[in-house]
Amino acid sequence: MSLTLGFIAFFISIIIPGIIFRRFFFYGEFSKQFNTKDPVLHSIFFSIVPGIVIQIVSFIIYNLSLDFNSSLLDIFVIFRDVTSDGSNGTNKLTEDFINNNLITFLIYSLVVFVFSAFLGWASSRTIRNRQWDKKYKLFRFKNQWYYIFSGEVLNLKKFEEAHNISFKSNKSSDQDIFITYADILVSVSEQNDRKELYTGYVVDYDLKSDDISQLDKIYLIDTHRYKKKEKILDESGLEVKDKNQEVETPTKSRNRLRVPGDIFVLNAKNIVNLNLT
Amino acid sequence: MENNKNLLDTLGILSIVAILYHFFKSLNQNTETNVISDDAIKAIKDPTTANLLREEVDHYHDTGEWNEKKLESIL
Repeated sequence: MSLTLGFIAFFISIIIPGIIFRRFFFYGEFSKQFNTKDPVLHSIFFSIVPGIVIQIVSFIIYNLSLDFNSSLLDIFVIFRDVTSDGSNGTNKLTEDFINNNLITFLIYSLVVFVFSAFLGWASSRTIRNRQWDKKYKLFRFKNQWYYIFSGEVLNLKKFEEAHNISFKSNKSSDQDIFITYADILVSVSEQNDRKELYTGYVVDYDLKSDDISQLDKIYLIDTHRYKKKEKILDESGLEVKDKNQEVETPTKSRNRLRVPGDIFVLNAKNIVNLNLT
Repeated sequence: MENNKNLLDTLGILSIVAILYHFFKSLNQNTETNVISDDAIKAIKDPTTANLLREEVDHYHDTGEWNEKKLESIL
């Protein structure tokens, strides 16, 4: 698309409001869905639909509140003249618009930009406030790892049902989640034959910039590493069991060693599996 | 008469500001996107509560049940 007056008008009227809407819609952890590294055409494409909707809504509100002197047909004529190469001549209406109403158009555009920001902010907050993202897949944000690490995944309909079946009680409904505890099995050799188990509280995570469904790193605090207890063998080679030890539970079968330091960063590439509590 | 009109205008603007403030505040409730809560960070920073919390997680892993009273006292 060449840089014509028509393209500039299209960019100001449709693309910029759409981009602003998306910038304010994807907030907090979901802002990873709005990436400045996105290809330009990708950003433009996903801004067209919200841009058109915002422009129509703004026009209707503006028309109802301030009563435009122009009709939709006038706007169509001006837009057609501006986007054409001028071979068919220019309508008097377009000349009048360029000579007298360009400043009004710019002020109107600024109001539309502010309105797009508000609409983006309000619509995402409404979705979260009403929990529509947990109830309906249509409203769910693409960052699935947020729902997993924040524990909100337990309140999604299908997980709630699965939880009910496995635990025979509705443990997950309206459960307040303060923190997520992770047991992470990591492969420490290229042949995948040596593995280590880490455990800690998830404080943050990174997603891959080229694919936000993929985890890049996990940040843990109060991290511990599990080490298998060495077996004590008797003279005949049989394992000697500690008589004082009660029934062996999952947490007692291994030694847990504290990892010194404040934050432990795990590269998600080496993760074999994750168990979250 | 003029003074009354100014007063009504000011009251009208103040009402609109109050309504907007209330609207923004109510819409912004329960919309945080934190992976970890502030209370949990506070609990983990203290080694004593961090150990207690870990014990509780171990208890849950072993039994499959949370000791809610103890958890509430920690968090």
